[in-house]
This record gives sequence, C-alpha cells and structure tokens, in this order.
Amino acid sequence: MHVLWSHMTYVQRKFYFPEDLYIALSLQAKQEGLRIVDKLRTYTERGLRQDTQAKKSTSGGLAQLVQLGKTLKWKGPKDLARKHTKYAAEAAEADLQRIYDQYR
Amino acid sequence: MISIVDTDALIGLAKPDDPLHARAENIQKRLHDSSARFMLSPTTLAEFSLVGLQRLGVSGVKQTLAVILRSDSIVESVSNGDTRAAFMLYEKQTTKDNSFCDCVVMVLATRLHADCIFSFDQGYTKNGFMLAESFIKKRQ
Repeated sequence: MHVLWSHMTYVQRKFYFPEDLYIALSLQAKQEGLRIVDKLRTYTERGLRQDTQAKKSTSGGLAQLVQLGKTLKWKGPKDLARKHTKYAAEAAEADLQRIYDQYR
Repeated sequence: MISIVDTDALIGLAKPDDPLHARAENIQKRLHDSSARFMLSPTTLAEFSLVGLQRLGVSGVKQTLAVILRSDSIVESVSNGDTRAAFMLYEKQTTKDNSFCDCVVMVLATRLHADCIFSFDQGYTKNGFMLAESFIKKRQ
C-alpha cells in the first residue's frame, strides 16, 4: 500500500530504538532504495491497521458474547442450544405454574 | 451481507460446554470477518431469556442480553404484518420442530433479504432457508 505522506501534517518526536532493530531497518531501507523514515512510517501504518483488524475480529459482532460466556455459570443440560425449544417450553410451563401457585 | 441470529446460535456462542459452541464461534468469526451484519428478532431474545433464566439465573440473562444489545447486532422490529405472515407460515408447519418464534425468524429473513440464518436447526433448511454454516461453505 502506497501512502501519500507529502500532504500530511507532521509531528516531531524523539524515540529510542534498540540498535539491532535500527540496523535491520536501515539495511532494509537501503536495499529497497528508500529512506529509513519512509520504512518506519509504512511499518507503523501497516502494524496499526493489522492491530485494528485483529481487535475487530475478537471484539466485534457477537464475539463479546463468547467472552462473557466463559465467565457465566451455566446449569443444566449440555444440549441446551439444540433443544432450546423444548427447554423454553419447560420454562414457560414452570412460569405458568408459578402464577397458578400465586392463587392457591 | 445479513445473517439472522437464532436462539440456538446465541446459546451455542455463550455456553462454552455446549456441543455447538466451537461451530458457533467459528461461524461468528467467519461471518464477522466477511463484514456480515447480525440481526435478531425480539422474539429470539425473549426465547433466549426464557431458556436462560433457569440455566443462568436473572443476573446471567441480564448480562447476556446487555452484551448482545451493546454489540453492533441489530434487533429488528416485528410488525403486525410480520406477525401475521409468521402465523401463515406456522399454519403450514407439519411438525412441532418449527416454533412460532422460528416462523418469525423466517419472516424477518425474507423481509430483510438475509443471506443466511445463523442457526443449526435443519427446520429452516426444510423451509427453503440457508443456514450460516452452509452459506460459509458455499462461499469458499
């Protein structure tokens, strides 16, 4: 992906890099005929995009329901999903019985 | 892409020891990665809360519903027309396998032009709807 950096506003910050990482980055930039700063911007942009995508796939949609499920204390049958209509009917019956019991 | 989520899928997702859990989680991921929009009927949430009440308790059901409602899933309104259409569909059912709630799901799936129903219930297939798992396999 080519990013048009020239039309952007820039901020200047000072960062410290581990020497090995800096050397690897310099070598790669040199091999590709690019400036170190361009490689750095490309990698940062790509990393941020991948991170956002990864977060999206673990937190979006109904993924939070899966996460919550791990903390819930379910009781009862293992086949709850497949036979949910039967268990819903039983629950409705129990609820009806509860109402009957109020008038005993 | 639209997928209507049914009660068994919600339970399958939320209940780690359910036999359908791994399949439900995989389908959820695959659909979400394909930018599918999850849509639910209020009747599905009602059915889930009814089943969940005895198995999870009030607090568990509340937490679960809160997570579903906070997600980017959409709860679609069920109109008078939808309800009547669901009843017409219910009248055609010949087994007790397809509940009235299932018929509401099918009516919404038709009205919203859903690509699939996120459920494992073969009753939907018998009524001409595609289940999410088959939909994913077909797209591969």
